[in-house]
Amino acid sequence: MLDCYMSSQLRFLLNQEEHFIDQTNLTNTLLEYLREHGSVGTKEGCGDGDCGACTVVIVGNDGKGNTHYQAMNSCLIPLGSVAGKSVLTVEGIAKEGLHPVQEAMIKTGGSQCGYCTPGFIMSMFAAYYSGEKTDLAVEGNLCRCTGYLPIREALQSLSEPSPADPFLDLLKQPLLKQQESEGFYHPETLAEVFDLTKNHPEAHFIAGGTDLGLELSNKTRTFTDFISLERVAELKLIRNDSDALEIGAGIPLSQIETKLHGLFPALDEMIHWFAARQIRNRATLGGNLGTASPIGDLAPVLLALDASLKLADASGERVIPLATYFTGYRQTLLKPGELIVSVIIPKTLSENVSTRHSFSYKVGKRGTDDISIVAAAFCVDLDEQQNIVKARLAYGGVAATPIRALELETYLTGKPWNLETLKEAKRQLAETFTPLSDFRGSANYRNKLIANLFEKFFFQFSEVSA
Amino acid sequence: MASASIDKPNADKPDTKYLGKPRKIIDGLEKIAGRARYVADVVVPGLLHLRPVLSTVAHAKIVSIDKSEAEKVPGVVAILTAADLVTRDRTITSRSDAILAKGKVLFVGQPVVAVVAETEAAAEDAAELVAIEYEELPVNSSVEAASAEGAHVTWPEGLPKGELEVISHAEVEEKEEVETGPITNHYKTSNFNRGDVDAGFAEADAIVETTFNIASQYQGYMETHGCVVEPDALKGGLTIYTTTQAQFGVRNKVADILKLKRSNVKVTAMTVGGGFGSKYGTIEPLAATVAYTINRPVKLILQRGEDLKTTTPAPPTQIKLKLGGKKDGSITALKADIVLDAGAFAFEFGQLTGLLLGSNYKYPALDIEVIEYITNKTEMGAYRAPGAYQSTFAVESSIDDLARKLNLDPVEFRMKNLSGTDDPMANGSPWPSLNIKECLKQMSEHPKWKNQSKEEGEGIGFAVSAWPCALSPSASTCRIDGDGTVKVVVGSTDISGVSSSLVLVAAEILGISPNEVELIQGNTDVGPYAPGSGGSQVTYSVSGAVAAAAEDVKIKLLELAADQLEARVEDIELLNGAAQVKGVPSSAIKIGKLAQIAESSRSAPGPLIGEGRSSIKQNAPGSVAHMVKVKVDKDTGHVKVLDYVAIQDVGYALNPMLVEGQIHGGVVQGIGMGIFEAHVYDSFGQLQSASFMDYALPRTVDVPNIEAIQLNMPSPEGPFGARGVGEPPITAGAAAIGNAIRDAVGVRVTEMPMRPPVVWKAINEQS
Ligand SMILES: Cc1cc2nc3c(=O)[nH]c(=O)nc-3n(C[C@H](O)[C@H](O)[C@H](O)COP(=O)(O)OP(=O)(O)OC[C@H]3O[C@@H](n4cnc5c(N)ncnc54)[C@H](O)[C@@H]3O)c2cc1C
Ligand code: FES
Ligand code: FES
Repeated sequence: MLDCYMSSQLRFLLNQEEHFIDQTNLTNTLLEYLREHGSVGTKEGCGDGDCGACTVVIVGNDGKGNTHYQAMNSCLIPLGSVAGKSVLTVEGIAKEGLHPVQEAMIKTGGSQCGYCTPGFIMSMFAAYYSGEKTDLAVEGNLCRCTGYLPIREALQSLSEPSPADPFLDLLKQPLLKQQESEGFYHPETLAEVFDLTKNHPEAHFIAGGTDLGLELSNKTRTFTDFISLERVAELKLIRNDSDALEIGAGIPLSQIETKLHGLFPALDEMIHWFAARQIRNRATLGGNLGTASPIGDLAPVLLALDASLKLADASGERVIPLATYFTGYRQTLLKPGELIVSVIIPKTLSENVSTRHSFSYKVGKRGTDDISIVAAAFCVDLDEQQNIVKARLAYGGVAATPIRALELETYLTGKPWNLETLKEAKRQLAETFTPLSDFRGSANYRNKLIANLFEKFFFQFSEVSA
Repeated sequence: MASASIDKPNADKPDTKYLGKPRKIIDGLEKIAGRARYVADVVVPGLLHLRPVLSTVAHAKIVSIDKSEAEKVPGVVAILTAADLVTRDRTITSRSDAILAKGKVLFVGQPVVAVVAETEAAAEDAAELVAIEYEELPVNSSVEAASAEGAHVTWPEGLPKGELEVISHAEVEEKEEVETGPITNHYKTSNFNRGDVDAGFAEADAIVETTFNIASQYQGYMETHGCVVEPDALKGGLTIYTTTQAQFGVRNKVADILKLKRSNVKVTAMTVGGGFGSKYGTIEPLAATVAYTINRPVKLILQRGEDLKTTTPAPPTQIKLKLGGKKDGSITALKADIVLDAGAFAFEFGQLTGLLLGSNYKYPALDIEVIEYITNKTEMGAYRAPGAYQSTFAVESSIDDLARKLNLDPVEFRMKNLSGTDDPMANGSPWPSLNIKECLKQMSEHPKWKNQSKEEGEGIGFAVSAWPCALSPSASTCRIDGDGTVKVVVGSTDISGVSSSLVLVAAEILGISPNEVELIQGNTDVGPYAPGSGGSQVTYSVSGAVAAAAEDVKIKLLELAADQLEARVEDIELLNGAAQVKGVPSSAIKIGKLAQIAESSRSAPGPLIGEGRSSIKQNAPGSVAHMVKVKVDKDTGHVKVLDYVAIQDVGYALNPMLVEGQIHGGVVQGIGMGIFEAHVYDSFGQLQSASFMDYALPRTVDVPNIEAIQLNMPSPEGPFGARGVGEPPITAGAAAIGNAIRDAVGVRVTEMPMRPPVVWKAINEQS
């Protein structure tokens, strides 16, 4: 339970009205707050981040210094994380008559039972201002009635906002002055983080909260204090040099998606398959590696790209290869009070390398927004003669941790990038791991995917056709 | 979005102003503004919150229940077990009257304890602290386990007899069967027989024999089950606000369980966030019994994980199907063994599954047996077109394979054997007006069928099906107010925007703009009786009543106008919201004015109100032909749906926009059940798919372009020729996808859903 301080109250803006948050409620979700305070237009469909019925729009920073609207799942956001922010719900967007996205939905018949509708409307609202008028804008919203076609039609029919649109003005208004709160801390520098960890050793780091929010929403675990990493400047940096790309561990994936697109195809591809828009607006690299799930999707990609992690605690910084980071099922090298500052992906190739091929794959029931049966990422460096200089094959969902096929990688060094090598690689891969069977897929199927995905990669990046 | 509506030349299409024209959903505005009110939004004074504690084991004796820690949570009002309830002496016979477990639990997710507190959070905290000690008993998590030698018997004294629950999804004539022999988990068998099946197979040139396994599937409505129950101290009754497809059904069920007069239970259906066959009163008895016992108002809204565990999904179904045919293109015999996993209580749609399986084609000989088993899972129930999509998957896959084996064109082979009007269903009853063949013909002439273009790994397939559609008596009233507004009152719940069709019916008959018509969904105290909104029957059954009510008030209106205009009734016409002497616009009197006269003049016969009833005798089947193009990834088994054409005989679309919405929605559910959705239990009876992450519904990105083509082939009895439209579109999708996969990679997938591991396995085992 949180300490009960009633003193300084936290504020946030809900549909442009100031709301004060009771200190005892900081781990309640924004959705609970909205529904208890009469904003019942926002719906709960799952409480797990899976359906989008609870979608609201929060004014956020796009990382380039501009404010913009972002759709988020209010069921996963603890109130403590909302402090200082400006939140819009379906009740707040109909100003003079309906909002254009609402008009569009009426016209196409985009609502049947209507339960999913406010969530769609809010995802579309964000899309209206960002210009993302594709299915991706609503991929995190489920609808069981309409079959999505009229919603897709409504989305595609949206025009550009007019310059007089009041919601463009709203974006220009300064954000609320942040306040500090007991129990849910918002440090802005690493130094402040470590001051807090010293005084509150039991406090838990929270970034996007898309893993932790599930536990809060389902009340499966109680926490004492939280240290939010959302505003820590050092975790928001991107350094793109000729030798390496360093990505702050606190940057939401949707920013990586837009700002770093094209640098590493394997990363682009996996982020595309990662959850849905609302989740990617919150989820971070640090959280994904911090959770250390064996089926986390980003670890295989970063392993294949030979990434390192910059870690820090009160005593200083260290850089470790990601390959040594996972020590067991949901266990890592992180010491108590230590956090991931950034992920460093090397760019320089060995001298004799003439081409690099790298890509990633995810197989689930549904493809995107799904738990991987197997996730895989490969990186193969070739010399001019098309011989392998270095290969890295990394997988998720096949062992207790994300893992590389190290023996095979050694074997592949120096081998020609051809069908024969592929054949031998597939033979070895069939025996490399001992995945488990579960209801998502059998051990046998997983083993076959391990080999088949590498084959897919080979045919995608060689002259030979399948 | 391509779509079309095609009138058959022989169709006797009414000449209309509003009906048959696309029109937006009338309550769409509220929904889009976030103002529609669902049950979770209901607040009444003194409201308490109920949290059920659900069984965590599939079969066990309850040794003890310790409430002491839970009772200490501030805000807790009551913690109840079965012994504390007024229903303590009632036998548990079905999922909905398994209010709280007594002595034993039979499935994971069965309510055991009810915690009532002043806030949801307190109830949730306390529920966590209730300690239940179980002595675990053997678990039958599948039919395989339940039918094994020495399997424990869940109901050793035989299945308890409950009152028959009346849910009309489709009309089936019930045959009495008596099980004899020792009591096992096999509790019911139904048979359909015709002709000499052995002789049929003997004369066949080719036979296909395949076992199909179809997973349990969950209806997946976005709003979970929930209700608010308020005891009425004076009447000794209850008011229930709920999300249901059948408010009268809920009223009867709750009243009967609590031994109350039915009229002392008032049920108000709120806006319903989807039902698809599930929302027929699963949890209302629990909330009502608790509220009644403690005499305080309570609210129970299921969390998604609870909803997945404790409601009534569709049954896991195995179908062994053998089909014989001759080179001349005739089918000779069908044999089918259907094995259903009913869950812990009797399933209601077993016989229907067998009936549907043997009815779409003219089989000279057939032998269908449906065997139902009790297992330790929640009761299995209806999901949109129960039995039809499962049987269609087996039949249409087999028909395709047989055509291939006989080297016959799959369209012609079907055309030759498909049932039409008056052909016998599996039970011998003649089909009412049925147009599967016309749908298939339409499909075979479609350019996407005639000029197929496919790339590597792509395939095109199709399937046909039909759904009988239910019908029930219903009634309505229609009144005209002094401001010219027409108010239509019905007792049915609107689960898919049906109200907007009903509004058009009244507007058309009264010659006024639909904007002047308001549809009022009356609760069970004021709304006239209506059937549950299931079985595709609301439009079909209720619109007849609305039409009759509008006609009734129209006569009264004409008589009053004739009197006022000093003309004969036959000479009065209704036009644009006014009554006038035919062809004399200057004589027009607004109908609002007439209503005022009716309300105030002593000489007039009284306010303008009409009533209407309908009791349609004949059901109006909806038929479909679905064509689909898929791409299969041979390395992973992943299937992507690329294109879809859905053709459906809709009879007469009262509101084509709504009908199109039903088709799109049904098609996408069909895609979901075809390639994504499985409700999976492990061998301990634990639900594996207990979230929307693990129970994967299709999303926007998974949906192809869908071309919906509506054939207007009026039904003889339906109002304006309408047919049921809600259920047919879900029936054929999975089968069509299976046939498209066969076309793409040359293998037959016999499991549904056709998820990557399943498809991959088929590819690797069969090729
Ligand atoms: C609907 C849904 C879909 C999802 N889909 C996917 C998917 O496709 N693929 C996938 O891999 N995951 C998925 N996830 C899981 C989750 O979104 C990711 O793991 C995400 O990257 C977590 O980031 P976060 O910032 O939200 O973490 P948080 O929830 O804030 O934190 C997670 C853990 O990491 C710790 N942590 C956070 N930041 C740091 C840091 N800088 N240093 C050290 N520790 C830190 C926290 O203390 C906490 O223990 C999904 C989750 C949901 C709810
Ligand atoms: S309620 Fe389903 S995503 Fe939040
Ligand atoms: S309209 Fe019912 S879930 Fe979307």
